[in-house]
Amino acid sequence: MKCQDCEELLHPYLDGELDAARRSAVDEHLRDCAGCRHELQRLQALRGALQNPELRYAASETLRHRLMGELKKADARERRPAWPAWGAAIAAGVLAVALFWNFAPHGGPSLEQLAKMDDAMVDSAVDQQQDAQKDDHLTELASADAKAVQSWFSGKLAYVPPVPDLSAQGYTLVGGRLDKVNGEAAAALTYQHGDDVVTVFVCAAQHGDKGLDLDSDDGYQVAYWTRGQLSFWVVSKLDLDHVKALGAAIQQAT
Amino acid sequence: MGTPNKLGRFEQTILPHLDSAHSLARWLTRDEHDAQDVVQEAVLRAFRFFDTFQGGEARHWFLKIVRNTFYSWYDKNKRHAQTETLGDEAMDVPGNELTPDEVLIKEHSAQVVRAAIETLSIEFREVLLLREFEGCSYKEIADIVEVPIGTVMSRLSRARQQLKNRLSGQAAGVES
Repeated sequence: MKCQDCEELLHPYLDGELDAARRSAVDEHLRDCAGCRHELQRLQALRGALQNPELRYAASETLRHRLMGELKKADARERRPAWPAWGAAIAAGVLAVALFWNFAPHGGPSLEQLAKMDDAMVDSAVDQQQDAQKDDHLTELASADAKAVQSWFSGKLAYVPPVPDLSAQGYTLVGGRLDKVNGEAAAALTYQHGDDVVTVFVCAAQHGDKGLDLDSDDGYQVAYWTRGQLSFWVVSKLDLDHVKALGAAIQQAT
Repeated sequence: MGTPNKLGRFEQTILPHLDSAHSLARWLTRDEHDAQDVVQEAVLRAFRFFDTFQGGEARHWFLKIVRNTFYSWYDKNKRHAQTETLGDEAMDVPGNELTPDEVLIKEHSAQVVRAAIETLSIEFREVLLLREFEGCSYKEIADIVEVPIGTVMSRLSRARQQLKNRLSGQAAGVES
């Protein structure tokens, strides 16, 4: 074995990652080669230096405490929607059955009812966005600072809307406004990229979790979904693929 | 509702590895405040995805999330970008003669060693940390860092080489 080969193997040798054959080949070389023995010693010295416990960064009690608090909140958030969501779904189902029993005994009225609720929301979100753009009233608070926009909403709504960062998609936040979608209070967050405008409506969920759906209405494209206690409606004149991608990015970020 | 609650299981399975997670984040960010942000984000992400955890090595699974969280954070916070670049070729000075310095490596104070580790590029630093501080096998490192084992080996040996040179004062131009 040449010294160069040995040097390459010294690291896995030191780390116990060599098979028996190569291990004994290294052993053999080390017996005869002072240079490689020194190199091994240096590596061992380095490892020794790295064993210093002062180089370990344990998590502080403060951090642990804070994390437990955050976890409990996250846990509560995950549990809470489960009941109201089921409750809402069952209520909607019962209502729909009552309404449609005579007319659609074989269909899935509860799904139909949910789809109608969503359609009404899509129409309304598009109307609101159209008006806002016509009146040049996209934002009540113009700010690119997500935290500032978020705190502006606090107290105005029963929930704190997430304000996703879409800079990776090329969109900068221009601000927020308080709006209404189908009679429901909503946070409307507007983003811009050149002349392209995207508004994300966030409102209280009307039903349980639902994956991303797409719709088009009046020249606007809408991507929408419901997760936890919130429903999201991404409204823009961009093409459907684009709006879908933005919707997916927001789902990831929230 | 017979299933044991998620938070309880998470506490038992994942939180025992909080020190490892924090240490990794601290070494990668080089800042306590940033490390805490990364750890918090990682813990919440891990909690959200905990249902997808298939059992197996919880620490490994968790460290992978910490590392991914760090990289998202790092991409967002490029403004205080770390100075070094991938590769760091110029710093590779082959160690040749045994000098009296070598025996002193072991005696270096934690502060000096820490500073030397912090000058390594992130790519080198992370494999070194996972190996030396977390005791991960090459295979585990390859999985966490998502590179082939051969790359782990070469990064690790170059990381050690650079570290050794810096601690022995052989590398003259340590960047500041």
